Amino acid sequence: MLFNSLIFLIFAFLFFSLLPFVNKLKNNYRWLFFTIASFIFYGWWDWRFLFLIIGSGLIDFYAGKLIVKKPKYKTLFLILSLIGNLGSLAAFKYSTFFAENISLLLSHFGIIIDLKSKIPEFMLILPVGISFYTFQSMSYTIDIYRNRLKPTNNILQFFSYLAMFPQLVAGPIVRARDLLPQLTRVKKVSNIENWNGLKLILIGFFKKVVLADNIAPLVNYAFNDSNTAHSTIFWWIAIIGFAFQIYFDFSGYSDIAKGLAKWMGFHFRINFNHPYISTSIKEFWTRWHISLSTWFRDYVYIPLGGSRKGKIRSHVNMWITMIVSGFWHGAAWTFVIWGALHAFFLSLERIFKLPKLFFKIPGGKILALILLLFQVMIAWVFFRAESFHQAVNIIKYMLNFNFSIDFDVNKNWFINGIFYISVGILIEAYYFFNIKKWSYNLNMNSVYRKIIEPAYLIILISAIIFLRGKGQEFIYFQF
Amino acid sequence: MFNKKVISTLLLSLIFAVIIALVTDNKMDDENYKALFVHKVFTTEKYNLVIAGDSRIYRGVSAEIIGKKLKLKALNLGFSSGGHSKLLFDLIDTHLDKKSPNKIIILGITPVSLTDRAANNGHIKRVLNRKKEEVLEYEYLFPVKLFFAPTTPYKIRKKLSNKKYNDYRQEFHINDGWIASWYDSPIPYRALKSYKNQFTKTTVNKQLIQNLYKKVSEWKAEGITIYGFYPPSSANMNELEKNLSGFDNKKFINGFLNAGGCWINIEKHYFSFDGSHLEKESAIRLSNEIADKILRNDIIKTYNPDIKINDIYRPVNYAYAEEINSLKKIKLFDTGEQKITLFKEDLKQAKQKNIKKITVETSVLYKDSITGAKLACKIKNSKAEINTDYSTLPNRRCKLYLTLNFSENYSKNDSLEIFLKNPGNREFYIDSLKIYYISK
Repeated sequence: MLFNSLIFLIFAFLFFSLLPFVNKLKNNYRWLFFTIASFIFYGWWDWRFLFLIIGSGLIDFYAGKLIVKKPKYKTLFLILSLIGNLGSLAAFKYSTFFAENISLLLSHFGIIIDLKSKIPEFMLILPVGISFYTFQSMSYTIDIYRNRLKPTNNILQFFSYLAMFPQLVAGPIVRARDLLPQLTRVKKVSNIENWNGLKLILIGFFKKVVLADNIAPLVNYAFNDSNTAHSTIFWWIAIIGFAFQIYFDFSGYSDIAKGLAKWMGFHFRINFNHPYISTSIKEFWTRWHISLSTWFRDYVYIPLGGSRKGKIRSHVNMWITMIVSGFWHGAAWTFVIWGALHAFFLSLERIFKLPKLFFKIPGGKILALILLLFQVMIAWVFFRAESFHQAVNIIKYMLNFNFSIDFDVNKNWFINGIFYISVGILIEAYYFFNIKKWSYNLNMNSVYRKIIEPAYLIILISAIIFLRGKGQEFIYFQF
Repeated sequence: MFNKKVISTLLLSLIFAVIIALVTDNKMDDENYKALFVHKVFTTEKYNLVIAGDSRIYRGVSAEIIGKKLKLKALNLGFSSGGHSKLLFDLIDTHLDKKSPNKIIILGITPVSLTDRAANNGHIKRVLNRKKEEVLEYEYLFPVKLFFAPTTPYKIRKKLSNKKYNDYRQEFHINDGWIASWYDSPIPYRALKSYKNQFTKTTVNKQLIQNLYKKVSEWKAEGITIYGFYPPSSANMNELEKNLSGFDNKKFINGFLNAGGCWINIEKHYFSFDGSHLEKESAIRLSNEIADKILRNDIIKTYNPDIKINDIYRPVNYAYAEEINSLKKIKLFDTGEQKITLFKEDLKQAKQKNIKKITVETSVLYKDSITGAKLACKIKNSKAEINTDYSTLPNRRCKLYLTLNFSENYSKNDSLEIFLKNPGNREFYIDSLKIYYISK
C-alpha cells in the first residue's frame, strides 16, 4: 500500500478509529492487531511475499531465543540467522546481478551460459522493502548475540516490531531495543504529540507529492534513452533536480512514518536532518538516512575495527562500509561506484582535514558547502544513471562548459520542475543560514499556536491536494 | 483519539479545498485521459460494435456517432501506438458481445499499427498494469478525483494573467472512448517528427499482417462482420508512410478481403490538426461517413484490380524534390509576405536532370474562412523576371500548388523566388514547403 493512495487513507482511517479500543485490551491483542494491520498493509502490494517476511521473522525470532537458551552454540545460531536474512536478500535482490556478471565472466573464458534465464521467475520480482526489514531483523539477532538486547518470548510482539507498517517498506530502520520496550506499554498520545504527528505527516506528504513528484518528470526525462541533451546547464539542473527529488521523496516517507508512529504512541528517531546544508561528507552522512548510516556504523564499520586499528585500516574499513552500503541500495555496479565515490571523498576529507581548512578562511563555510554539493551531485549521477556508460557521459556533459539553453524539452513540466527545485533550494537555504534564529520566536505566542499554525497546515493540505504531481512510487521502495 | 485542534484543522482544510476546487474549476486533461483508457480496458460492459486501432482511431472516430446511426452499442478501442496484435485482439474479444446477433468490428489500418513497436501495445500494457485501487478510483470515484484535480504554478500563472495554458483542446468522451481534439492554431508538422523517427527504426511487419488476416478469418467464422479502413490523415503523413513504412496499400486490402473482411473506402477530405490526427469536426464527419457507408452497404467486399480504391497517397511523379523549412512553421501575421530564395545550385542540378517543370507546394492553414493565402513564384535572371504566377485558394485548410515551366536557358546566375502573401487581416500558417522538379 502506498502512503500516497486513496486506499491508504481508508486503511489509516479504519486503523486509527479502532486503535483507542484496541489499546484498552491486553498486549497480546494489541500486538495481534498491529501485526494483522501491518500484514494487510504489506500484502496489499503482493500477499505472496508475506511468507518471506514471516519466514525471515520466524528464523530470527527462534534464533534470538536459542542464542540465549544455548549460549554454547550462539555463534552457530547467529550464522543461521544471517544466512537466512542475507540468503533471502541474495536470492531476491542480487540473483540477477550475480547471474549476469558470472555469465559475463565465464564468457571471457569461452563458456557461454545464460544463468539469468535459469533463475525462477518469482525471484525476479524484488519484494518491496526487503532491504529494510531484513536489516531490521538482523539487528535483532546481532544485538541479542552481543548481549545488548533480551529476546522477546512473544512472537506477536516480535512481528509487531518487525512488520510495523509505518516503517516496513522504506524505513527508517528501527532497532529492536528501541521499539520492543515501547510496544509493551500503552502510551496515551498527548494533544501536542497528536498535533506534531499531524504536522509531520503533512510535511511528509508535501515533500513527497508536491516537491518530489513534481521534480520527477524533469529527472525522468533527463535519464531517458530518448534524451540527447548535451548542455551543461541542462544536466546540472537535472542532477540538482534528482538530488532534491530523492531527498524529498525519502525524507517525506520518513516524516510520514514518524508522524503515524506518533499517533500510535511510538517514537521513531530522526532519519533526515537537512543533509544538503552539510559542510563535509562526514557531516552529510550524519544527516542523510541516519538510521541506515548508523546501522552500517554499528554492524559493519565498528565490527571491522572502525578507527581503532590505525589510520590505514580505518580508511579500508570505511571503504568497505561505503561500498557495501552502495551495494545495499541496488544490485548494479553504478551503486557500488556511488558508495566508492563517497568513500573516496571521505578519505580525501580525512587526509587533507578539509573541514578545518575551510573554516580557517573567510567564507569558508560557503566554500565547504559548494564542495560538498559538488561531490554529492557527482555521486548522485551514478546512483541514478541506468548504466555506467550513461553516468560517464552525463559527467562529461556536466563538466564540458556547453552553455546552450536550447533543451528541446516539454516547457510546461520543465518550468514546473525548476520551480519546485527552487522551492527546495529556498527551504534548505532557510536552514543553512539559520534564518529561524533571526525571526521572532513565535512558538511562545498563543496567536501562532491558535491561528497561524493551523492556517499553515490548511495551506499545506491545499497544496498537497492541488499542487500534487503525478503519483509516483517512493524511490526507496526499490531498494 | 484525535483532539479538537486536529479534527477542526482537517475539517477546515476540506472546506477550503472545496472552495478552491469550485473557484478554480480545474479540469485536468491527464486525469480525464487516464480515466478514459481505464474505462476502455476495464469496463465489464459488452458492446455490439468495437472500433479498434491506434491514436488516429481514438482521436479521429467517435464510436458513439457510428453506434447511434447503426443502432448498436459501440466502444472505441483505440490506443496510443496501438498495434493489431494479440493484446488488442484479446481486448476486442473481451468487450464484444459475442451472443448478440449483430456484432461488428471496425479496424483502423495504418502502417504504424502494423509495426513491431505497435504490436507490443505498450499503452494497453500500461493500463492493464494499473493497480487495482487506481482502477477502482477511476471507475467509481472519478468525479471526486476530477473535482480535486491538481494544477501547476505554470498554469496558475497563465490563468492569473488571462493567458491560455496551451492551445491544445481535448474533449474526453469517456464512455465512447473518443478524444475530440484540436489546436486553436493547428500545427501540421508536430506529430510528423516522431513518426519519421519511428519509421526509420522499424517498418511494417509482414508476419503481423498475416496474423491479422488469420484473426479476421476466425472472427468471420464466429459470425462477426469485420470492416477495415484507412484512417485519413494529412498529405504529409500519407507521404511519410508511403516512403518509409514499406506498406503496400492495395496488396493489404486484397489480403484483408480474402480473409473475410470488408473494406470501407473513405472518400471525403478531412483535416488533421497536427499532421497525424483529425480535428474534432473532421472526426465527426468521418464517423458519419463510416456509419453511412455501412448503412448503405457502400463497401468493398471482393477485390478487383480495376476497382477504384481511393489511394491514400497522392501521386507525385518527380525527378527529385527539395524541402524548404520542412517540418517548420512559418506564421504570417496580417497583411504581409515572406520571400524565400532558392540556392542557385539547385538550378544547376535541375539542368543536369533535364527538368521540364517545377511544382511548388505548401500546406496553408487559416484561422478563419475569410482569409486567403497567395503563393507566387518568380524565376529571375540577371536581366529580367522570366516567369511569374499566382495561386490562391479560399479554403480554410488546403495545399497550394503552383507549376512553372522550366527553361533550359536559365543560367547559373538565375534564381527562383517563392512568395507567400497574406492579403487578409488574419494570421495564417504555412508548412512543409516543397519544390518538385519534374522531368516529364
